[in-house]
Amino acid sequence: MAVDGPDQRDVRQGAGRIEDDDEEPMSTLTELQQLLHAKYNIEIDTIGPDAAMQDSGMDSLAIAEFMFAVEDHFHITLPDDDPSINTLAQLAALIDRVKAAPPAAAKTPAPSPVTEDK
Amino acid sequence: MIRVAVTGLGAIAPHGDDDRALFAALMRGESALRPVFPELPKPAIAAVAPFDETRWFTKLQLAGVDRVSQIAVAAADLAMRDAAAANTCESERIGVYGGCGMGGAAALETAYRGARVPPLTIPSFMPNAPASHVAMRNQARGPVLTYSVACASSAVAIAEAAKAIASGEVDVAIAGGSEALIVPGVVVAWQAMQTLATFTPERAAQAVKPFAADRSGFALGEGATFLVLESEERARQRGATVRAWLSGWGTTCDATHLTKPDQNGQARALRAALQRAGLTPRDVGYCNAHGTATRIGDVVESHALAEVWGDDLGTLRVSSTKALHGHLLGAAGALEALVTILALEQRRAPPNVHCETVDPECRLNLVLESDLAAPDLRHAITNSFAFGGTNCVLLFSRA
Repeated sequence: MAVDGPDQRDVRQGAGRIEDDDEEPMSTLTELQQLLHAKYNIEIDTIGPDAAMQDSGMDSLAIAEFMFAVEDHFHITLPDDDPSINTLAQLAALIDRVKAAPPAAAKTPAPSPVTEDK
Repeated sequence: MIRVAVTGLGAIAPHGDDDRALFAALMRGESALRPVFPELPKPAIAAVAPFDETRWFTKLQLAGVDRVSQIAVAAADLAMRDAAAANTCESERIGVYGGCGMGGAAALETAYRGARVPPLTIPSFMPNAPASHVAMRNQARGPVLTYSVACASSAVAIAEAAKAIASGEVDVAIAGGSEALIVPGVVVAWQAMQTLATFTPERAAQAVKPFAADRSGFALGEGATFLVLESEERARQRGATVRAWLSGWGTTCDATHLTKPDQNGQARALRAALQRAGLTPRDVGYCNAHGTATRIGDVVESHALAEVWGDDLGTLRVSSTKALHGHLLGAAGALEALVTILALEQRRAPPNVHCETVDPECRLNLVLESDLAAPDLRHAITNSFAFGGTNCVLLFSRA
């Protein structure tokens, strides 16, 4: 009903995969602004790239929900709670970094042996 | 003793959000039950509340707010407007008493069914979210409490709010309840419980038949209703319109069985409400019954009323409006309190519909569609009897 429907895409936790090799038609920042507008009716010119997202009326819960939408939109997994991300410009830069990163297989440690060799 | 005044009413209900219009629809015997979720293996009906959330929320404000909280905020807002009670006391002197049986069913359903679980599932789902959202919207900084007592949730919430007004703990109580669980997972769970009415497609809207010989259970409904309660003294001082008095209330528990109703527990709640109001059975002219149209429930309620009313049972006119708006579970007691208050205001009783042949075990003076006038009506009760064994009776008096 009024709760946002689930996204049915298969987003692999912790993988940070990039599956879209198309050239981007617009900057990540512009895409974020458009996403904010579509999701929350926040006008693009009321949230500048360097203003704190909280200043546009988003509280911590709305920001958490927005990050979820961002992950769906960009087909990425953002790192957990990065306290340094306060503005759209910082978020756009983070998204670009995640998208540019190689597949994050290295992040997953190899399973430790359960038993020691004799 | 401090008299408790009802100074505001607000509802988001299957028959709309205007209290007088929804009462008029009930008086006309209009059923709000419709088929839902045709994809389910077993056909289902429910009464869904028409609701435009954009009247109360911006898109940004809707983040993490389940429908159960949205309709609670809207109904409480309508009640506070009706009472003109905003900014009439310190925020610490406002309490919220909210009933809710389940919480945010849609949020939980989304979490189960989706590929990813949205991060605000927990704050959306938690059963006390509706009362908390009502508190934030109205800056209620006194007691903000949730009562999860199944089908008696919002009746209990109203009774507890009345106690808080009577004791002087708060000046303004926003009391009622909210339920929004018309989602496939919950509907199939209720179907599995085998308490829902059976129906043929062409008679779906008439499926619920309280006190009828051929009754087969209830249908789920959705909605929220809130009342504003104040002391008589405060209501008079600020010149508020008193829509009714909440003269009595009685809360008991069967303590016998989780789901099976119990005549003794119900009769004790009825007597407690009468005693609190200082009235005799004969003083009460109308009963909005719990009347879920289950095989056993209607019989036990009839017997409980007969036990307390005795030879005066014929003076008590009875109807169950669940036939028309469905069973709102945690919000049922509050919506039916509103209906009972409208009956007192207009001195007209809503009919007990879809009851062609009365069950001989339910020997009640049922309100007929041909005889709705109640010119002498001064006091009326509404019954809410819950799974878990809790019974709550509210007794209202004409203002």
